[in-house]
Order: sequence, then C-alpha cells, then structure tokens
Amino acid sequence: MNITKKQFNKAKKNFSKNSIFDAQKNKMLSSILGNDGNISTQPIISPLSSYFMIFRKKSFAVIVGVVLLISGTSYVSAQSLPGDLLYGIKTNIIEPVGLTLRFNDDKKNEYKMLLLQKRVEELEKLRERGRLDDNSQSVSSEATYKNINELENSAIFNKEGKNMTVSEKVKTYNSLIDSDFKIETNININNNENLNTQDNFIKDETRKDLEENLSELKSNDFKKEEEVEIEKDILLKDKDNSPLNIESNLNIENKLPKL
Amino acid sequence: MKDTRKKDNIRENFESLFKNYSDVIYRLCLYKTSKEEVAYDLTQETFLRLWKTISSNKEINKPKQYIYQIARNLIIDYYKSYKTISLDKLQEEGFDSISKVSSPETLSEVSMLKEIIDTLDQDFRDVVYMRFIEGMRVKEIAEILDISENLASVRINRGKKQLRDKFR
Repeated sequence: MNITKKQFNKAKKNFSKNSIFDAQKNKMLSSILGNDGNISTQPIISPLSSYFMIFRKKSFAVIVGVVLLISGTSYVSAQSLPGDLLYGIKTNIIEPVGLTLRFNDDKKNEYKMLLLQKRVEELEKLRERGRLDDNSQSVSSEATYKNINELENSAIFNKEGKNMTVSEKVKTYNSLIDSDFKIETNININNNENLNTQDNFIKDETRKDLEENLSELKSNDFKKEEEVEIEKDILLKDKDNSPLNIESNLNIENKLPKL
Repeated sequence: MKDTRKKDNIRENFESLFKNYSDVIYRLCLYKTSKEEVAYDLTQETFLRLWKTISSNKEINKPKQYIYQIARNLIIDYYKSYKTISLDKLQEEGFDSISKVSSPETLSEVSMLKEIIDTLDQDFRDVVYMRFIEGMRVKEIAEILDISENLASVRINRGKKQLRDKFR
C-alpha cells in the first residue's frame, strides 16, 4: 500500500483526536480511586517526622539501656560490702536518694535507723566471709559515721534524751569492729545535762579567771588596797551581772603590805 | 489534619497526571493493539498501577517516564498473554491483525500509521510516533525514553528522513 504524505498527515491528525470521553474518564478514575474515592494509604510521614521517629526510637532504646544499666548497677551495688567497687555508689548515691524520697520525718528517721542496721549486717557478712580487713573496716566506719551524724541531727530522742535502739546498734557495731574504727556518739547523753554543763562550764571558767587574776594581784606587793578592791569589782562585774561569791581562802588584805 | 492535607495532595497529583496523560496512554495502547476496548482496559490498568505506587508514599522522580513504561510493559504482557507474534510477521504472512476496532475510520487510520512507522528502524519508531503523532517536544521524548535530548533529536531527524523516503 503506498501512502502519500497527505494521507499520512490526515491519518495522523484524525488519530490524535482519539481520546477517552469525559464520562468514561470519570468512571475510570472512580474505579481506580475506589467507590467512595477514599485514599487507602498509610499515614504520610514527612522526612522530618521520620527523622524524629528514628531519633525517638534510638533515644528510647538509649533510655531503656540506661535504665537497665542503672537498675542493674543499683541492684549489684545494693548487695555490695565495704571494700567493694560499687560500695561507694551505694552509700553516696543510692542511700541518699532513698532518704530524699522519704518525705515524712518519721519515715526518714526509720530509714536512717535501717541504714545503721545495714552497716551492722555488712560487718557481720564481712566477718563470715573472712574479708574484715583494715580497708573494709575503714570504709565501713566512714559510712557508719555518716549515718550516725544524720541520726544525731534527727529528733529521735526520748524524753530522757536517749535512744536505746541506736545505742544498741552502735554497741553491736563496735563489738564487731576493731578499736581503731569504733564509733563514738553522744546520742545517749541527756540533753538537759548538756545545757547545764555548758552554763556551769562558763561559770567555772569565770571563776578560774578571777582566781588567776587574784593570784597575780597577790604576788604584786606594790598594789594599793584600793586598787585591788577596784580591780576585784571590775572583774566580777565583767563576768556576771550578779556578784559572785568567790570561794577563796586567800586573805588578800592581810597579805598585802601596807603602804 | 496534616494527614488529610497530604492525602488530598496525593489525590490531586494523581488526578493531574491522569488528566494530562490518560488520552496519550490511551492512544498509545490503541496504536499498539488497534482495539479500543483493550486500549481502555490497558489505560485503566496503567493508572491503577500508578495510583498504587503514589498512594504507598513512594516517590516518583519522572512520572511521565514511569507512566509510559508501565503502559509499554502492559502492552507487552497483553501480547504475551494472547501469544501473538509481532504485527510485522503477521502482516508478512498476510494476516490482517487489526480486527474488532469500533470504528472503521480509526481502524484505517491506525493501519495507515502503522504501515509507515513500523517500517522504520526500531530506534526511530517510538520517537517518530511521539514527535509526529503525539506532537511531543524533544525534552519530553528524551525524558520518557530516558535518553539525552541530543540523542532524541538525532533520532527524530533520522526518523523523519526515513519517513520522507517512505512516501511516494
């Protein structure tokens, strides 16, 4: 079949007019998109969101890892004894955190008592395992002193200013440890006596000062009697408003030479 | 809220591609198969596959090329499924492969075009069809066939020359 250029161009023109009718197009589109035209797609994630999702997954994995590490470390350190590597974490981090988490004063005091008991138990374990050496005793003593200081600052005394539980625990502790590392505490000292002793201490010191001054005066032969009297008054009034009766066997007037 | 907007964007993009290329693909399928019903079905299948790709959040860098490639693959599958041999061979044997076309005019037009274009070298058939039947630009042809614009231009010119030689 020989085709002319004209025929070709005509055929080309007519063929290019072929198209799908609009109604057919709409029908085709509806069948492609679905009957109700809903797009059945997965939620679209923008690159930034996908980055954050990946970041969140990674950060979540890191957090879980850290939590497991911390909890694992906490568990292991909780079982540690004085001289162990993780004992410092136990006494310096975990136990203080445990104290902080108790908001009630009574609960705090209970926890402090519990810690003291733990120190005793640790010593007992060390003894059983034959690991009670200077290093472990030193570490234990240091931790126990810390607990004792906290207890001393707590209102755990009874009316008589004593706490038998604490004193028993301290006694038990001291019985297990060498003398160099024993714990000394004034928890069982009567609080009232403490105050009186302090006041008496001041008065005793005053008396001592006065006696020393008077002895100086005694040795000074050239002091006049009046000057001595004046100095006596000054000393007395400086130390206490109310005049003190100095119990002294010194007879100053008789001893001083008359000018 | 954002998802709804994104879904709307996807749908709009698809509808835009459908609007711009549905007729082009239909004519290509009609040219290759000479059957309107088959051309219609292949066109629908082409855009259905395109929709599945777009709606699954896959990015398509060259949509025109992608659509054309889908259509060509479907045409090949169509021929394979009917176990037909090439039109050239059928025509050599004297068998008129063009049948069941809705309108005789379309049939004669397709037949005429095919008679000329299919006698060209293989490399020039597609570019000549796109350039002289569909009126596509060199850049567009290069993009669809995934060749350089230079090469597309060279093939167009050589194909045009061969085409001229075919006319009496």
